Amino acid sequence: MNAPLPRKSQPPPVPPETELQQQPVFRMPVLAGERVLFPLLALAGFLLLWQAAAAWYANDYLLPGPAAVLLALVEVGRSGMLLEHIGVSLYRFTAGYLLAVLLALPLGMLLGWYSRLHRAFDPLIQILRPISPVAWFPLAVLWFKIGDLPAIFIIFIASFFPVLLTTIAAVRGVDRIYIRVARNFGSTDWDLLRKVVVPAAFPAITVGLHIALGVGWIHLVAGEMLGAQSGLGYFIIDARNFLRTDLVIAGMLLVGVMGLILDRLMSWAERQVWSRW
Amino acid sequence: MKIEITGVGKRFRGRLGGEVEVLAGLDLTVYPKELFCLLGPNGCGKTTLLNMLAGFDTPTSGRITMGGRTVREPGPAAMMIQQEYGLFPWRTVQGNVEYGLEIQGVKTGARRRRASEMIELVGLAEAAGRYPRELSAGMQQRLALARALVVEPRVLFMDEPFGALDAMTRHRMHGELLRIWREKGMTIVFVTHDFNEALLLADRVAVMNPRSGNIGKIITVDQPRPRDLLSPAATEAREAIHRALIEGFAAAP
Repeated sequence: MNAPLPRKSQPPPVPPETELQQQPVFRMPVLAGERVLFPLLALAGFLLLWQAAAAWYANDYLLPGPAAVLLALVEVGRSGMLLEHIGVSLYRFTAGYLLAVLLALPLGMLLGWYSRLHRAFDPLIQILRPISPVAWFPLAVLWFKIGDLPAIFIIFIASFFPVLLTTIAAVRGVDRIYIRVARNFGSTDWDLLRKVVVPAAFPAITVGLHIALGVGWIHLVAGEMLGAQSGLGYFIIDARNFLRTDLVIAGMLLVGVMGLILDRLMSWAERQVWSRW
Repeated sequence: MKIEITGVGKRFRGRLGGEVEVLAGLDLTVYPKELFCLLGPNGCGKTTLLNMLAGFDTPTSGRITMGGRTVREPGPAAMMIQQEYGLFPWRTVQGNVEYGLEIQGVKTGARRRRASEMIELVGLAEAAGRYPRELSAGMQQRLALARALVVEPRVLFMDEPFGALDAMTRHRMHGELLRIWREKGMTIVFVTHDFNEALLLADRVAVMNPRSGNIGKIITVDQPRPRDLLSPAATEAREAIHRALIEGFAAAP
């Protein structure tokens, strides 16, 4: 009656249902260079359109072309100030984001786990959540004056709610069967939380961390327009004050590119997590 | 371990208000080391009864005792193998089996060893480092079995344990279950709606009536294992089950 043991070199056949779930019903054939070539083509098309529009408009103050922006970028890049701005921005972003995550994660787990607590706090959360981080500007300045803190505060506000809400939903969404199994083994509440609820909710929580990363980064520029004397947001405001539209656009593009890099890093981390669950 | 069910009833609050009676005045005794089968159509209350036996739910009336003690909450003395197993996807095969021992505070060395022995017993030694999603349905079933058995339960409850398996894997798992049951000598109560499964495995088969949720008849399958489903004794038992089901349907409101 002993079943033949599967050999390591020969993995057992995956049940057909799983295969169906993992593959999309229809998949376009992957062309050579699709990953690199196509995005580059789209980018080139955008630059071309932009250049054409700038040439037609012929006003370097209102709409400088990509070439002018590139030159401006090289100009400030040489001075070394740019790296300093980026560094300061990354520091503020990391501080605001981590603070939000460190607070929202445990709070979200608590509220997700104890439904009574959730019922009590949900209305309050739903009142605070729709307030745009931008609406906090006056208070941010009043409370934190100038320097790093107002920007950190704005990024914190922007990142906090996505993490909180997805964590609550993730914990509430943990499949009951895991909890039944754990209870069957006589797990204490603490074991249940630590060894079952947290790992079971983790993939869904990473979604919130990802969303918060994007939202937080978007509000970085806004936050740094609040009396800061450095950072990418300040860089853009400063360029505007000197009527250097080319530098304004250069700053915007930098924010975008950095956002892309952060997003890709997060996606990569997420894939590492999801591949196991 | 002896399980005694006396006058057990269960009512649920209905979706449209009012109450739905799933079980009423149920009496049943499962003897130590018995392989007992609850057989019945969908919605007859098999799973409800199993949930109460395992302590996940409490009866509205009556009493359930296990080894003389009233069942109040789930515990490792009576492990339930859920229909969808509920394997922890974030733990390897080894990690899944070690879970129950971690909860009991077994030291790392002993935990590793006992889990490995159990993994060996169910024939998963080669897959100890894999994650549940990397296992076939049959292997997942073995893992669920190993994870439950590692805490040495006196009773094993199984809710349609072989429902998700194809016919050939199911056949093989029947053999595996019997082998492990002989080796470990625990009481097993399992739920099924498959006649042949009941006839192949069980010492006694309780046929549950549809709707009313009572046990119509208890049929003893008095035949040595491995069993021949085409033997006169098996045919006789099958007919008895069939008659009990038909009578149950006729009596159903």
